[in-house]
Amino acid sequence: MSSFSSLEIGKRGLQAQRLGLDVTSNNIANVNTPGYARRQAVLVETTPQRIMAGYLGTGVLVDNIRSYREEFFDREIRKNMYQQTGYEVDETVFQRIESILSEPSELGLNESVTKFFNAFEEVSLNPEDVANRQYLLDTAQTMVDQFHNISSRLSSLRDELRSKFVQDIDSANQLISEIADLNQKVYSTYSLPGGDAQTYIDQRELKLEELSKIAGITVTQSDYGSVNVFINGKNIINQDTYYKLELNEQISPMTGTTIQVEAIDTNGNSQFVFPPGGELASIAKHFNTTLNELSSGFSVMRNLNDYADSIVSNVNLEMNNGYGLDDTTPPPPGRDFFDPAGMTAASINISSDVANPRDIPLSSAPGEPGNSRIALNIASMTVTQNFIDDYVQLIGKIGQMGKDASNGKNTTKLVSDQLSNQRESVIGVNLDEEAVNLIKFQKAFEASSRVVNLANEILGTIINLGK
Amino acid sequence: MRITQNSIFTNFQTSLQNIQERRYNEQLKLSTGKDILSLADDPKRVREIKDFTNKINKNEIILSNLSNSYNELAAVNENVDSMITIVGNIKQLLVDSTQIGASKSLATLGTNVKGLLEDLVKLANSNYKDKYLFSGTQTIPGSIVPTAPETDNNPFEIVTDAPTPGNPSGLRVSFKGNMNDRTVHKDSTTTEVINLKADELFGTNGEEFFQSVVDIYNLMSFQNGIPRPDNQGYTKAESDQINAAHKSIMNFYDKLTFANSQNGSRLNRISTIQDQLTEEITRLKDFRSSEEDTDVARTSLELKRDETALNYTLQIGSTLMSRTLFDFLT
Repeated sequence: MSSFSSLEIGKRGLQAQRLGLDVTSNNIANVNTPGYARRQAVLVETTPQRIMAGYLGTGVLVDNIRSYREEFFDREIRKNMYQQTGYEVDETVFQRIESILSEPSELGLNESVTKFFNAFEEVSLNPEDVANRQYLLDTAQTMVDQFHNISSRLSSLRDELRSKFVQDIDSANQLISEIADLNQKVYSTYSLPGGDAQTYIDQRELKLEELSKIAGITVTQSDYGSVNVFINGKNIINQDTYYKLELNEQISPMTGTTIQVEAIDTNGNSQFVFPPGGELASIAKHFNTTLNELSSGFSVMRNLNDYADSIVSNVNLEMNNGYGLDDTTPPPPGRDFFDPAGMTAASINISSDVANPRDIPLSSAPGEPGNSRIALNIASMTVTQNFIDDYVQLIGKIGQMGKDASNGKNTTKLVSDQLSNQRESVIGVNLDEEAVNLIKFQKAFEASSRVVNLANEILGTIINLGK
Repeated sequence: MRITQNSIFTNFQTSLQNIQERRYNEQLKLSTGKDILSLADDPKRVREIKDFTNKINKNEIILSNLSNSYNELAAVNENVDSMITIVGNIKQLLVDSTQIGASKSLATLGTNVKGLLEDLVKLANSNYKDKYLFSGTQTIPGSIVPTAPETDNNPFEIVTDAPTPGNPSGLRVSFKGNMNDRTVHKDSTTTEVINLKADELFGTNGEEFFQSVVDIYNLMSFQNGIPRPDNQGYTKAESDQINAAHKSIMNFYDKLTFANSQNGSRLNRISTIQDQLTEEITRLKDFRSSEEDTDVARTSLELKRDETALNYTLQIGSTLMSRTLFDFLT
């Protein structure tokens, strides 16, 4: 036991408390940094020295700097996050569809269609009045225009979704590359004393969360702090090697244009990946189904086309047996009200057969302008046929799906908030706590410096003994 | 639970966001008067509202059509009333012609009868809003095609054929319309007939009773196929014909009276349906309003509650959030 040991212990104390102050200062500085997990300097006693009376401590050192990051919360938050993002996209898409259909309002397609059929009711009282017939054509044109407008805006929405899908894939690729890079940095600095792996882990976690929102990833821990990232079982990041995601667009006469995600390795080999949730999954669902007129699932476009088809077929069928104002002899001229070539929302059009309102076949017999049997039959279609009810059901279903998405979003947001709070309670910085730590390390630092002073005085005393 | 700076801020922001979202929705409900702002708010109610709206719109148009039909039937009523008066006058002239002393003026009476026949035909050609009332579904001039000796596009026309012993004047009333029903919806699928047809008013082919009037004119104005000489009264055979004509004109009178009462019944029925429809529309509007419209009292209270909550949240937030131990260290 030398006289210098107290000086050494004091020095170690100074160093350890100083490091403690640094860690605390770093925590305070990063109080608002997203993804930052608070750190703690873990102090341990240095190896004791054997003396005559037993073992004597030799001071303190900082064994490691501990991060409070919790993988359990990170995993649960990532999972909840991609579910929430999926619901958010669903909600937005259904809100957009709602707005395109102008529902619920008095300007929606339902109103235009019922107004069209009610115009037949109105004209049935005075079928010989050409002004009434022109009004009928005008309401039909309004309805046709609305069909076109809705169809065109739904197509634009579908195009927008495709663009967003491509942007998301670009963002995902950027994140995948950054995560692989951070993986490598973590791997190479993980076991180094004083290495900055924890900083990279925090940064990587932020990127993983962003990627999860887009592609619904799952993450497993690997050696030396690196992680493997999977999309629905496909390992897209393995340490520093990774796949590149690409858009795969397929066009088929049976299913129309569909989009999927393809993962391409460094050798150019490709494989489909199917994100279980997140933006990509939700966008693909709406592009391939909700807004795809050839989809066999629930498609707003297909329902809208069926609606237009029903109106065109039923009205034309009735009109084909009718006579216009100037048709005086049988057989019926077989005029169509709607162009039979346009059976979809995009192509529905008034037939040139009835360009002249006098030619609209509203009478069931020739030479009878006061006969409105055909007009009455068509006016009754709102009750005798199902298409109006079907459209109201469609609106209801869109509303229900929007509501489900909204409820899903709210529920997952609630869970997300709870999980974030729980994680925050573990990894977050509390300024009161850090203030106490500051005082604690400051006092310990002051005490250690007193030890050094005292040891110095003792040494001085010893040195001066011989004078 | 360990509370950190971020959890305080995040929760505070979430609370503020939630309250402000609720306030926004409540303000929107009050300003638009609608309780349902989006399909997703309540899809079931949206479907019900649409159903109510469709039914209301349909009923309003049916009601409007019935109202117009009612006016048309009222016009028919007036016309048939006038016809009844004219037929009554013809009947009176016929009776007058049989009185002693009338023989001098039989031809004059005949001229009067012819004038009344023309008035009857004029009434039979009446229209309402440019539509012939008694020509079935051939309601406009374009649909009436005259064939010689007919000359005009009216449904009823007095034409002159070659004189015959049975019809020395050659006069005849020709009907060029049809006997078809004109109908309007009284609900979405069932219809109500709104026209009186020519045969209901004027007998077979819409001409029978006109011919009776022509026969009376012929009796008064002709004898043995030539114009009746002055002071020449009815012969015994002609008196028998007069009796037959009287019977026929009485039938005409009864037919018109019956048709008019039928028309009156129709008017009453339409009026009743109008009342029922008006009541149904009011009821449907009530139902729709209860589903669709904002409960102003409840929403105002909710808005007030959220405004109070927002004020307190802001107040508490502003005092609680900035204090840490650092504020007390010197």
